[in-house]
Parts: sequence; C-alpha cells; structure tokens
Amino acid sequence: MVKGYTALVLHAHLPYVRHPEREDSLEERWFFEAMTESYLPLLHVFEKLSDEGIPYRLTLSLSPTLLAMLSDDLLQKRYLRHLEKSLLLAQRETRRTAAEPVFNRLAQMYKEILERNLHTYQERFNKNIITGFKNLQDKGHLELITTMATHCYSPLYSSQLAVLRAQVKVAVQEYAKYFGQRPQGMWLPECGYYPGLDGLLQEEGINYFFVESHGLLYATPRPKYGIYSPVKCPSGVAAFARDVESTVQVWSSELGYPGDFMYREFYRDIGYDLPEDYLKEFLPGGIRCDTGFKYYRITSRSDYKEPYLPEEASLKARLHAEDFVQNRKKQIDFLSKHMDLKPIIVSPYDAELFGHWWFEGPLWLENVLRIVAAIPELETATPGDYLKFYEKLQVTTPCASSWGNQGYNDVWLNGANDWIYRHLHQAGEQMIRLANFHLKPDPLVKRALNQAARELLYAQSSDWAFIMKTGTVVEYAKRRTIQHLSRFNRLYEAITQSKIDAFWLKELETEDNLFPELNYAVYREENPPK
Amino acid sequence: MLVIVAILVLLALAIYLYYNFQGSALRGPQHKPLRGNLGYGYENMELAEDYTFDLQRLRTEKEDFLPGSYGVDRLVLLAKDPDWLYTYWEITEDTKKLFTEKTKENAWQDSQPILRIFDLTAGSHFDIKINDESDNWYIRAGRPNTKFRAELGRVYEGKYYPLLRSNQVTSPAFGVSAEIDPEWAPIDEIWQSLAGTYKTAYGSNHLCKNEH
Repeated sequence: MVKGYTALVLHAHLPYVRHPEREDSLEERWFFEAMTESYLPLLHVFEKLSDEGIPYRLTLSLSPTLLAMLSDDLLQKRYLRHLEKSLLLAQRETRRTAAEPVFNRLAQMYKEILERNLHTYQERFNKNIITGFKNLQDKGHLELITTMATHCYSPLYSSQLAVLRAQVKVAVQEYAKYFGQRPQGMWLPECGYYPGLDGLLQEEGINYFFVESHGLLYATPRPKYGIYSPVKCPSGVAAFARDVESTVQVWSSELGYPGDFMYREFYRDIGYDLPEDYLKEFLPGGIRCDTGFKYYRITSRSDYKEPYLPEEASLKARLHAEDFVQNRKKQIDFLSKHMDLKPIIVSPYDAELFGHWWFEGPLWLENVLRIVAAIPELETATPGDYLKFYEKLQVTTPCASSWGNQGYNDVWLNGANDWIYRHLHQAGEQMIRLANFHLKPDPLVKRALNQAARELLYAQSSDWAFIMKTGTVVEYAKRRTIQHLSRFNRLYEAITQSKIDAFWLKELETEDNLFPELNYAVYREENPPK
Repeated sequence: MLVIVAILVLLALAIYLYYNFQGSALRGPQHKPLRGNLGYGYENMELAEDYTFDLQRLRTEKEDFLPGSYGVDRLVLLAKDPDWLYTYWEITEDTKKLFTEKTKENAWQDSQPILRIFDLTAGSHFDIKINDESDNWYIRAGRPNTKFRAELGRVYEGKYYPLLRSNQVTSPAFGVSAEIDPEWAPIDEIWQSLAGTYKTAYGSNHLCKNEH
C-alpha cells in the first residue's frame, strides 16, 4: 500500500554558448563536458531501467537554450569531434598507463564510457539525444518540463510583464516544437518566484511550478501540509516546494553524499597533471583545462589523493542510495500518520551535478530508483501525476523567494551585477514598444525585429548575473551581456531610423541564431498604453 | 659501478620530478560556474571548476558599448530581500530645467537630493539623503512583506520637490503567515517537525512558533 511519493526533479540547463566565429572555444566545452559526463550517462540510466521494466517516474526540465544547443548542427558536429578526440586520448591513456594496472583500468573505464557515448550519440540518435528523452516520456518514465526561454531570473523583471510573458511564451513554443505537446510544468530559473508570476504561467496552460521551501512555508494563508503537498495559487497554477532534508543530503559538502572520500575527485585531471607536450592536441589553444580523465578519489580534505577505486565507489553509491530512500521512507511514515492525503517529497537538483561534478551521481540515481521500485509503501511520482490524484488543493499565495544564497534575490542583484538591470529593463521596454508599433513590417524590418528580440533574450540569461557574482569567468559573462545589449541597441536604432544594414543583420542572424522561429510579436501588449 | 650509481640517481631524480609534477596541478585563474550551488545548506560547497580563460580569443566588436544614459526619466525600485530594496535612476536635463524653473537658477546645486520611500502598506514614508554622484542606491527598509514606492526629489529651502516616481514593489515575506484558512488549518505535528529541520538547515529559526 503506497503511503506517499518521492518526486525526483532534475533541471538541465546551460546558457546558449555557440561561437561559430572561432574554433576551440573554451566555453563550448561546458556543453561538451555536460554531454559526456551528465546528459548521456543519465540517458543511459533512464533507458537501462526502462529496458529492465523497473517502474519509475522522474521529472526532467530541459531548458529551451539547452534544447537549442542539443539540436544545433554546428554544436552537434563539434561535440562529435570532441567525443572522437576524447576517445583518441583514451587510447593514448591506456597505452601510457600500460605498466600501472591501477591507472590502466581507469583509463579503460573512461574509454568504455566514451565508446558507449559515441555509439548512443552517433549510431542510435544521429547526434540528437532529445529523441532519447522524448522516447522515455512517451514510454511513461519521464515527465519533461520547460523553464523560462533563456532562463531569466523573473523576480527582477516583475514590473515588465510583457517581457516575462515573452519568456514563457517562447519556452512553451520551443517545447511544443520538440515534443509535439504543451509542457505540463515549468522550472522557474533558480526557483525565482514572486506572487503574480503564476498568472503568466496560467495564461500559457502550465499547470505547476516549483518554489524553494520557504516560498511555501511563508505562503499566505499558511499551508496546511507545510511543504509536503502542493498548493494552488489564486491563478489556479499549483506550486510544489523543495524538501529541505533531501536537499542537504545530496547538495551539502559537509553533510552530503558527493563529498565522500571514496568518490572520484573532480579537481585532479590529467589536463593539469600531465606534461603539456603530451596533451598538446587535446587542449584548446594549448590552454590547460579538464579532459575528463580523473584518476583519483577525494581521499581526504587535504591535497593528499589516492587512486580511484571504482568498485568501492559503486558500493558507496549503493549505500548512499539506500540511505536516501530510507530517509524518505521515514519522512513518509511520519507524514502519512498526520496527513489526510498522501504526502509528496520533492527533491530537485541540477542535472549537471550528476556525473559532471558527482561522477557516481547517475549510478546513485539508478540505485535510488531501483530501491524505491522494490518498496511497496513508496512510489516515485511526478507533479503531473500528483495533480491527477488530488484535484482539490488549498489556495494560498507562496512568498517571493529563490533557491539562491539567502533565499531571495541577493545572488542576482548585488554590487557585482546590479549595473546590468538599467540596461536590461531599458531594452525590454524598447522591445515592447517596437512590438506594439510594428504591426505589419516589411520582411527586412521583421527580421531585424526578430533579431532584436533574440538579442534581448540572450542578454536576459540569469547565468550572466550569476557568473558575475560568483567571480568565475566574469569577463565572459560581462562581454556576453554587453555584446547582446549593444547589438539590441543598434538594432533598435536601425529599425526606428529605417536604416537596416542587411549585410550586418545577416551576420548577426548567423552568429546569434538562437530560436530560429522566434517571432518578435510575443512582446506585443494586448492593450498597449497610449 | 659508477655508471650504475649514476643511473640510479638519475632514475630517482626522474621519479621524484614526475610525481612532484603530478602532484602540483596547474590551476587557471578563472573558474567555470554551475548554478544551483549557492542555496541553503550547501553554501560551502566548492563547485567552481578551475578554468583558464583567454580574453584575446574573444572576438571584439569595437562598437560594443552600453550608453551611460538613455535620455529618459526613470526611477526603478526592486526588492533585494525581505529587508533591502534597490533603486536606480536617470534624470534628464529637461527635468532638471523644470526644477530650476520652479525654483531658482542655481537651486540644483543648492538643494539636497532625497529618496523618499513610501510604505504603502502602513501609509507612511521615510527619506534618505543621497548625493548627485550616485545613480543607484541600496535601501535598508527592514520591512518584509510590505508594498513600497519610491520618489526621487530634492529639498530646496526646506521644501520638498518630487521629480521622479517609481514602480511599486512588495518586499518578500520573512516568516510564517499568521493568516489561517479555517478549512485548511495547519497540522501542528508537521509544522513542528519543519521547525526542527529548518533550525539545522537555515541556522536560524523563523518558523517554530505558531502565531495563532
């Protein structure tokens, strides 16, 4: 008899990084690494369980920018090349380590992973793994959802409804393009919510979204079940809250699983450890970076590291999965005693944590899903499932919140990034004005309008503000923000002065090619102010 | 004999250098970020990836720049967290001229710029003296779950002149709501268990007392 549900939610997102103008872009490697280490291994886990007939339900958010990258011709070719190069390095590594069995079998392990990735990527899905995830949705295992078109941090645009509406509309359009239906749910970037945002989701037929724990705990009126059952916003859209306990277990470096000394050490990579001469052709522009070949385990808190032992790590992943499920079971046992409906425990994570940062993450997840499937009191469910079980929910308004440090807007609004908003808001306002004014533009003007909308969307990625705050690749984030806004401003000028340089526009369209079907009219207001 | 010793010494040196080199991973000056790692309970997690970054490799467009001003009057108010607001503004020359016309020619220099923050929930306001060099300000309002509006104005000869008006914004809540829907009365056991969890996860405790 099922007493409650555990809802695992993975959010997969990368900002749109594509640089046709140069080879070997370091930032494109974010995508390549996530492919090799997270997206493909996760796909393999989901498929394996499905093939074995293990019943499971999991929610996966694929951001529109990530979907665009996954289906982009250039990035597909480049990733294939990256994969082939990695395999070449794997062959060299198996030769180099021939006399050291401890390292040799690790090189062999990576080689096998890469071969499998290549087979899946090239042979099975012809370079487009979106099909793989779609198949799993069609088979009833995954619930695929979306997020804001370019992952904009919504609370800081609350005074520009038309701007947010466009982010939602484009997200839904893109989802429909890939999956042939509307998304049921939306992952709000960074769990960024403010009261009223749900109304925009409702307009586009979205049934649910997620908030950080206190988003629901501080809701008005106070929710009966705390965070263990969703509520309905006044708009009718349901809000599910992130569970604190399961969050800390997986995320926290102090208390979390990924920091276990048996697990693979992320920071020891042959890209930094081996002589440059040996690595030459595998380092972009000769710059040292991660190659994915990591031979050590975390071992200790110090720099002292010992070789990685895959069997020991697998065992740990199994134990940690058991621990995770046991704790969810305990929670459910307790909650079901007091609740008059079945509780749901929502555990959302960044998909890139699994495999990329936490090498054993996909294996852990596989174990979790297997163990839950074997426990009669516990079942995996998606928010979509739960809303079918229970139609009557408490109506309450969640409080403005995010999952960022301090729980509000601090990460995306502080001394390191506050300067961007005056420009972003200005561009947003101008875009709305353009859309309201140009009802039937000439083909060239229309292209310019679409490109302006595209540049604005690019600039609104929450990733840029986040990077500026965390102090990593700051120059790149600044450059992208300035570049897209500057291009927007020039397009705005060109459109309003009727001086569109067709050649330059073509250049922009080629370089910034996100959402080719984008129509600027998504910014048009129904009742524009006079 | 001597040759063998020499070979052994060289070998030892080679091994020493090799492992020494292996041990000191070269770190790039920049890090690659992934989001979602800054939240509660995992602030300390170092998920920033070492990454070198080459500025030279970026294509530079000489025309890329953002203007210092857009020639529009604007005062925008944003909520940062339950206690803090943020505002930025731009004042056009026209508005400055209008102010001098209403007052005196050198009144701009002789007046004090003020941010007036209206608490629309309580129906009160407070003023912050600012300066003419700033175009943005962090405001410690200390009032969660409150509706605000801001004005930018100047005080000249004891009189306040409003110049710009902002949008409305509501600061986020910072605590459990006292409002209870009798049809959906909170379950005490669950709320007590949450208070316990939150004490560990958040380091402070905003939910332990029921405010019936």
